[in-house]
Amino acid sequence: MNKDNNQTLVEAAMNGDSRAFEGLVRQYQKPIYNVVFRLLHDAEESRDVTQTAFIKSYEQLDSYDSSRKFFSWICRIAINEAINRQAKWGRETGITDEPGTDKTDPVYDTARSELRRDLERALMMLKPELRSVVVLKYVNGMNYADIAHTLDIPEQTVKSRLFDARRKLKEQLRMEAYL
Amino acid sequence: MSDTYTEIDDLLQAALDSALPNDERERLAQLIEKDPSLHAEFSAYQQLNEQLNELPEQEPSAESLQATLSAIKAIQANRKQMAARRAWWLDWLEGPPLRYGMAFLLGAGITTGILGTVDMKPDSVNPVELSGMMAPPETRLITLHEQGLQGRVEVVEADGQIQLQLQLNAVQATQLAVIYNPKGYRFSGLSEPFGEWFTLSSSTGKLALEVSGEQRITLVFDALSTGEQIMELRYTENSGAVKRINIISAGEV
Repeated sequence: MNKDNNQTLVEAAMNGDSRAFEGLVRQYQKPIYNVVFRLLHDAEESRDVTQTAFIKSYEQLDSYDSSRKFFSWICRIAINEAINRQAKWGRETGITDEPGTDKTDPVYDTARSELRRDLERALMMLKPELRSVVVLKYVNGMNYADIAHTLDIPEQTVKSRLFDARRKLKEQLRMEAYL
Repeated sequence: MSDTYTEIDDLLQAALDSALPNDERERLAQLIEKDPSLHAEFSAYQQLNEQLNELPEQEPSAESLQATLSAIKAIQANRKQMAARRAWWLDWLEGPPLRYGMAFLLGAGITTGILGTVDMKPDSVNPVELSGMMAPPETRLITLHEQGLQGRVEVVEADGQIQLQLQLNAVQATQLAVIYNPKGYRFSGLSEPFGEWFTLSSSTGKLALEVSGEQRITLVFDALSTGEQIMELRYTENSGAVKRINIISAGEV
């Protein structure tokens, strides 16, 4: 997944080109929203957190290190914002049918949707630091190096967290008799 | 399996990622042969991997993109005006020596005032609290002359629903963003003089309006729930200052 193919936009934005930053918002809004949604599982909160992340990144653009990937940088802002938001609200997130679920798909069936819902529930039961790794790996298709860079943790920690997360997910789904 | 991340875990992970070199694959096969339970583990992980990879992508709404872009534009406009103002002062101070003298003489008296204006901190918060229960029909005026806004909050009953109406005269505002508690309100509004009703997604909880000159904006919030309701208004004045006002209605609306 090449999310930073438009480094020119980033540089232009840093040089004060306002339209360039709008271009970045258009380019990254969806992937950032996806990450946040998988962390919060609440469409309203996710939209709000996504917007806040972009506003914060715009306001802090001077502190962005252009040698690093812009997507990783903004993703980190969004993840921190999402984790803080969830801690602030201190609530459990209910898993409901989500807007992205395609129920008109002919292959969509009840068993599959139940499995997906249980998987999402299990995902939400993970600690935020484990969930973040899973989301970046599976939702954003990031490699270990990029995940490590985004979360500012060693690559080995990424691997161990991911394995720990998968183990917990597997145990949860096994309890539900899926695996 | 142990709770710590082991070399075997590393092998399994690489296998799941399809990133296992041939020699390592052989090693994993040998390990599985020694401990057949590893095979079941690996199969379970593979299934889990497939499910995780199939998590559907989410699509943010067009309104939320627009709201983000409007908010960014408001910040950009504010920055431009602030920069222009700073440039004007610098230009003035770099003028004839007389200006230096004037600046020196006046400096002690007005430095705080000038800096206070030029470096006005954006997002100053001016809460307007509407405490207690408001029952229809009830109107409370909000006086915000110094912020360039005048308005009133009105609780009315319309079509069997209780509505909280916020009416503002954006006398000096050029940009106005309304951020409200989306859990509590459904939202529609009337922007005059255009007279066009706009309806907003209740999900984003945000609205950005471009206004110019004297303009009256009526926002209608259907009070769908009770409890503390918070609306936050952000606006950019013609002067370039971005300000924020919280309107808090504590208790049932």
